[in-house]
Amino acid sequence: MNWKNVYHLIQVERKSGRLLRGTNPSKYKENRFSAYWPYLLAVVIGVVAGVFALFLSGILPDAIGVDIQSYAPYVFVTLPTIILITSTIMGMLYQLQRSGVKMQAEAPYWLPITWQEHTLASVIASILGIPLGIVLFASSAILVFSLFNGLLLLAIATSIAMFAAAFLTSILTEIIRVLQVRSMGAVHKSGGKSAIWIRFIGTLAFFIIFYVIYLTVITSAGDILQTLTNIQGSLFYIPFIWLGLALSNFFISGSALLGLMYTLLSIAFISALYALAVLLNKRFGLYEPPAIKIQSGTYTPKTGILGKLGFSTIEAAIISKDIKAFTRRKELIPVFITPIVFMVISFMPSFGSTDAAGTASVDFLMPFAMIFLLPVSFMSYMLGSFIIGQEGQAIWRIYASPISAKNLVKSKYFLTMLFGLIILVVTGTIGAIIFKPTLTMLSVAILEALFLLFALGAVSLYTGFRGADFIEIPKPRMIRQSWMLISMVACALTALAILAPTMLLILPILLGEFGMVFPSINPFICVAISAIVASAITGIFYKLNLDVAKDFLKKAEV
Amino acid sequence: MEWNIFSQETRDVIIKATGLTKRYGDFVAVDGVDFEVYRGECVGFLGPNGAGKTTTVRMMYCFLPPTSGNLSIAGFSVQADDREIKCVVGVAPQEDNLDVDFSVVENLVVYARYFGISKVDALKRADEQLAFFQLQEKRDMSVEALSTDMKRRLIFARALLNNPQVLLLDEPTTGLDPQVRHLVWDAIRQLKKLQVTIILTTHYMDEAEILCDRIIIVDHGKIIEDGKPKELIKRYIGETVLELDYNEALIPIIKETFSDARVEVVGELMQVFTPKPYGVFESFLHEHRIQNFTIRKANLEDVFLKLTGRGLREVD
Ligand SMILES: Nc1ncnc2c1ncn2[C@@H]1O[C@H](COP(=O)(O)OP(=O)(O)OP(=O)(O)O)[C@@H](O)[C@H]1O
Ligand SMILES: [Mg+2]
Repeated sequence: MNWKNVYHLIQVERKSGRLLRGTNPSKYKENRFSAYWPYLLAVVIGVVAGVFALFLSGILPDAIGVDIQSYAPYVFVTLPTIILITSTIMGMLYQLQRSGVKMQAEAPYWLPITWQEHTLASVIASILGIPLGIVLFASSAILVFSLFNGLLLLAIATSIAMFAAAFLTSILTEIIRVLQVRSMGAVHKSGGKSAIWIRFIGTLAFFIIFYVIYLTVITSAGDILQTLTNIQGSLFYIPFIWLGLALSNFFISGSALLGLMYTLLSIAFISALYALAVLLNKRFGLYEPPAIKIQSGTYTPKTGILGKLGFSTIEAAIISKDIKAFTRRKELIPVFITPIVFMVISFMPSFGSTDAAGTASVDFLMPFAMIFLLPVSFMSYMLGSFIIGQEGQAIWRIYASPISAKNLVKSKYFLTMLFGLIILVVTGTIGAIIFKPTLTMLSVAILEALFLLFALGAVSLYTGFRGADFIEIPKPRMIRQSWMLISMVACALTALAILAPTMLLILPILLGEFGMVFPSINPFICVAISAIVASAITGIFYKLNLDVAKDFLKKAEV
Repeated sequence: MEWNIFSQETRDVIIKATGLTKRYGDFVAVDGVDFEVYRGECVGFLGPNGAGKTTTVRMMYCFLPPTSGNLSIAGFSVQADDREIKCVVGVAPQEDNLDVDFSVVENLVVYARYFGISKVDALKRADEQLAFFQLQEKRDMSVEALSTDMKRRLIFARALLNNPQVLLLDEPTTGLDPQVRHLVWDAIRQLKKLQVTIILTTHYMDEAEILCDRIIIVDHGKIIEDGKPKELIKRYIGETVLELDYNEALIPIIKETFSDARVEVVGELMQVFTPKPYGVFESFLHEHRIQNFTIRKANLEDVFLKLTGRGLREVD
C-alpha cells in the first residue's frame, strides 16, 4: 500500500465529487483552509456543545431531577450505530447523485495504482464531507464533556468506534457503487435502469431506518436511551452493531471478554467488507466499454415448439418471421379479406332457402359446397402466389443466410397450409351451423377442402417462385401480373381435376331433377379418387418447388 | 503487419479467386480477376464508382453467380457449396436493406434465426451487438425511425450475428460522421484482433490506409494494383508532395531542380512528387518566392488518383 497514491487519489475523488455536484470548477480554489474549514467548524461546534452539556449536567439534576451524568454512557455506546445510520443515508444520497454518471476515473488503467489503494482512497473520499463532519462534531462534544467526570476512556473509545462506523458505511457505499457500475455495464437496455434500481433501494433503506427509529421512540418515550441500548443488544446478530456492542460490553455491563470479542469481530467484519470491496473493484470496478463478441466453434440450437413438430430451426425462423410480418403488412390484407368475402357470398343466397337444409337438392348443394371449398381455395391460391414475393427487399436476408431449398419450400408451404386450415375451420364451422349437413356430406366436404388446400398450395407456390417480384416501390408487387394469371388458370384446372370425381355424386341429383334415374355411388369412392389426384398433383408440384427454389437461391439477382 | 513473421507458404488462404468474371449482358462488370486473401487479413478494395467492387463482394457471399472463373471461400466453391459459405460469411451490404416491418432488435433476431440460432441465443447476441454499436436506446424502435448512421451501424451489427470468419463490408462508413466512423473503425480493429478476415470496400483512402493490411485497387472490373498501403505509396508516389498554384513557367525549373521528381497538373493545381523527405523543397520555394503552397506526406489518395487516372495529366 503506497499511502502517497492513496492521498493523491483521495484528492482526485474529492475534486471530481465537487464537479459532479455542479460546483463551478473555475471558481473553485483549492486551498487548505477553504477545504478544511467545515471540519474545524464541526469541531468548534462540538466543543461548544460539550461545554454546554457539561454546564447542563451541573444544573439539571438540581432543576428537574435528571442526571445526565448517569445517562451519558448509554448515549455514548449507541453513538457508533447512530453514525452508521446517518452516514448510510448520506452515502445513499451521494450515490443517488452520482448514479447518472457513467464514466469512472480510469486511473488504475494507466497508473501504477493497486486496487487496494484505489478502493481505500475511494472509501476515505466518501467519508470526507458531511459524515466526517458529524463524527468530528460528536467526538469533540463527548470528549469535552467527559474531561472532568471520569468518562474520558469511554469517550475516546466511542470516538474511535464512530470513526470505524463511518469507515464501515463508506465501504458499504463503495460496494454499492461498484455493483452499480457493474449493472450499468451488464444491463444492456439502458443505463437509466440501474439508476432507478439504486433509487429504489436507497428509498427503501431510508424508510426502514426511519421507521425503526420512529418505532423505538414511540414505544419507549420514557426511557429512549436505555431502550436504544437494549435494542442494540438484542440485535447482536447484525454485524453493523458490533461496534456499539463492544462499547456497551466494556463500559456498561463490564464484561471485558465479550467486549473484546465484539471488537475483534468488528475488525474482522470491516476487513472482510473491505476485501470484498477490493475484490468487486478488481472484477468490475471500471466502466468497461462493451467489446465485440465473436464466438467460434460449432453451435447447437435449442428447439422450440415448431422444432418439436419436425421443423428445423431455420424453418421455424422463417415461419415465425412470416406470421409476425403478416400482422404488420397492409398489402396482405386482401389475402385475408378475399376468402371472407367469398364466404359471405356463398351463404347469402342460402338464407332464403333454409327449409331445404339437409335435403339433396342443387339449391342446397351449391352454396354448401361453395362455403366449404371456395374460401379455402382462394386462400391457398393467393397466399401461395404471394408468399415468396411478399418478402420484398427483405429477400436479401434469405439469400445471404444458409437457407436451403428444402427449408424455404417447407416453411412457405406450411404457412400457406396453416392459414388455409384456419380459414377452413372458420368457414366449416359456419357452414355446418347454417346447412346442418349429414355426417357423410360434412366429411366429404371437409376432405375435398383439404385436398384443394394441399394441391392448390403446391401449385400456387410454384407460380409464386417463378413469378416472384420483389419491387416494393411505389407499392409491393409480390408477383408478376402474367404469373398471377397463370397461377389462376393452373389453380382452376387443378381444382376441377380434384373435384371431377365428386361430380359423380351430384349427377344423380341433377338428373333426378329432370326425372332421370342414375345409380347413386358410394361417396367415399369419389373421395378416394379425388385423394389420388390431389396427392399426385401435390407431390409433383412439391418436387417442382424444390427444384425451382434451388435455382432461385442460386441466382439472387434482384 | 504481424503477418511478416509468417512466410508466404504457411499462410492460410481463405479466399481465392481465379479468372473471376461477371457479365451483365454485354457489359463486363468484373473482368477475369485473380486474388488471394489470407486468414485474419484485412483487405481493402478501392476503385472509382462502378469499378466492380460491389459486384465482387456480392459474388463472395453467393448473391451473384459468377459468369466464369472460380471463387472459393474457406475452401468452398461459391458455385457448389453456397450454404457452407453463407454460414461462415458475415455481410454488411452497401445498400440499406433493413426490414421496415420490424423493430431494431427484431431485425437482428430474425436474421440470426435464419442461421439456425435459437431465439434465446439470438436475442442475447442481438443485445450484445446493440450494446457495442450504441443502439441500446433504439432497441425497440422501428428501423424507419433510425438516422442514416444508425442504420449503417445496425447493418454492421447484423453482419456479426452468425459469428463470421469472413466479414464483407461494402462501404461501411459512407455517409457517417467522424465519431461514428471511429466507432466502426474500432469495431474493425477489434475484429482483426479476433482473427476475422475482413474485406472492406471504401472510397475513403485514409480509412483504407489505416485499417487495411493490403489494398487491391480495381477499375473497369480489373485489378490494377495489389499491395501494402505503404509500399504502394512508396512505389507510385514517393515520400513528399508539394502542391502549388499552376504556373507554366515553373515547370521546367522544377524539372531541372529536382531530377527525380514528377510533376502533375490537376486543374489549377500543380503537384510535385518526390521520393526525398520534407526539407528538399525549402530553398527552391524561398528562391522563387512562392507563398501559396502546401508540403505534405504522400498518401494513398495520390496512388489512387494516379492509378485510376481521373482528371490528371502528367507533364513529361
Ligand atoms: N444488375 C445489374 N445489371 C447491369 N449492370 C449492373 C448491375 N449491377 C451492377 N451493374 C454495373 O456493373 C458495374 C459495377 O458495379 P458495382 O456496383 O460493382 O460498382 P462499385 O465498384 O461497387 O461502385 P460504387 O463505388 O458506386 O459502389 C457498374 O457499371 C454497374 O452499372
Ligand atoms: Mg459498390
